[in-house]
Amino acid sequence: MQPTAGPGPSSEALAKRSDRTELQLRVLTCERSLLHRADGSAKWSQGQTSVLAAIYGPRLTFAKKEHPETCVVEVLVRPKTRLPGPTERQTESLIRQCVEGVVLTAMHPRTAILVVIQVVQNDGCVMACALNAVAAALVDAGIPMHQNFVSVTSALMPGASVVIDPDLAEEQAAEALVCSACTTCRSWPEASAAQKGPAVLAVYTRGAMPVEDYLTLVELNRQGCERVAQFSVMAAEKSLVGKSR
Amino acid sequence: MAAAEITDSLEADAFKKLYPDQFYARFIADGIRPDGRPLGRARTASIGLGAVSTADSSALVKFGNSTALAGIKLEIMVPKDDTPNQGQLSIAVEMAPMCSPDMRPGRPSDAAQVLVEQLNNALLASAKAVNLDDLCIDPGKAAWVAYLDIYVLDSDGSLADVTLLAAVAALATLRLPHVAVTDGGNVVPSSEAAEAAAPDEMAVEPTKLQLRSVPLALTCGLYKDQLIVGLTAEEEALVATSVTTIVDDQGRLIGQLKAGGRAEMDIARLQDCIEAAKLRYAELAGILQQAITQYDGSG
Repeated sequence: MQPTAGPGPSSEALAKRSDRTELQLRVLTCERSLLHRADGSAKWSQGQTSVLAAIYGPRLTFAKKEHPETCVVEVLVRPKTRLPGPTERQTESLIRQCVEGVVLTAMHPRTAILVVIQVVQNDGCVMACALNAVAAALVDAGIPMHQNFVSVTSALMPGASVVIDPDLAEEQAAEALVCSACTTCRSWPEASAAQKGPAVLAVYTRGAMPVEDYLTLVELNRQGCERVAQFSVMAAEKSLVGKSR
Repeated sequence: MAAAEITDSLEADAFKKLYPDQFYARFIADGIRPDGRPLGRARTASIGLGAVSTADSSALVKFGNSTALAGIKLEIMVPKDDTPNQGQLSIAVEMAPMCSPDMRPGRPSDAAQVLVEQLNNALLASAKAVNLDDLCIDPGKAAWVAYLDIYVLDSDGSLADVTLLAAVAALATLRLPHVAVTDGGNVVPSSEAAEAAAPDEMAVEPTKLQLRSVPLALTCGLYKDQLIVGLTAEEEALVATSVTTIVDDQGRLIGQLKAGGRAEMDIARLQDCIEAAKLRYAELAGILQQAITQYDGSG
């Protein structure tokens, strides 16, 4: 059932976690190759949140859009209800730049990869869930990549407590949200020798917070990403072994 | 590398066009940028308040060549049923075809819509710079709706920073006229209402809209492991990744956006960006304060 939290006295009560601890992720599920006409597809769920991603290409595109040296990435995000607006455009822009960062775009010049994302159910962390779905769909489509990414959202709750992977009620009660994406392996073409600690590929925040809390959330997301990465590798191995048999 | 061998016979302009990356790399290796700035300095900012006389408030902001014009028009609306004591701030960004060779006339570009979302996120969702309750005239009956329109006139990088400063400058100089709601539900200037009631009372000055937080942004880029502060359009095309950091006057982090790209950033780098944004904040806040004092002084 979809929680119907909104601003009001009930939201705080709803925001208390009963089924898991503050630093526990929701159950992850990943299904691949659901769509027959797409070159690759995946449905990624985190608890009740579920996002379907489809990849088309690399294929020909309009002469106006193509690039002579690289493959162009186009992203379309469809919300569960209503028409896409500026919020979806922002999500599209973030996902596009993440995909452009990991795909070997120089291998397919003058082509385009189309990524279509449909939000199936929204129970918080839609952007993280969409990024994970896209990452899984890219593997399913067999697009050459030098990296893959995973994403996790965490929230700063009133009273300076932090929770990872908030659901919709917690998201609405939260003072600030940080969604970040990390890559799943360490080697990087523009490998930076100066880079000391673990790094993030993308960050998106909402809400005002002290800088220290922000850095805590980024670090928490990074640890969460390691867990999600383990799951995503396991899920990919299982589905690929299943295919070859 | 082929580029290095033939450089001597090429004019600098041709070299820049053909090998933009190598051209830029040579500057960065010497710790300077093609426009003469060191790596850690953003462009000089200038603010012109009241640039549009027909708007209720307006600001023309330039960072180097990047230019944005923000104007606010006030209208009166009936508040929404679920928020009877709130007005509305409606943000729109227009990227005129003249602002960049990539822009085409027609429906709003994705870039403009992304800017709208970033401004909405910064001004309303995150910083809560404008308290919508302040825009209420009479709960349930009348409230102000402020149409904040931003025109990007010259798109030369760091657009998120330029548009946010233009929006903040326009909002900071917005004055709400005094109005009264008559028994019939019409909204009239309160000087008229007051005159009808007590003809010798003086007309009241319009009130300034109080900003609850002043968010300002800085975009940094990562190029060959060097942090480049305050990007131009040319640099934006060359950097591996860019980060926009927004801080406010209370030292809070309003937002940090790193939208993927060809490089990752570790936490120390993100912290560097926040520090750079705080330094830039002090600079911009001074310029903004000076512009506002000057504008208020001139009437």
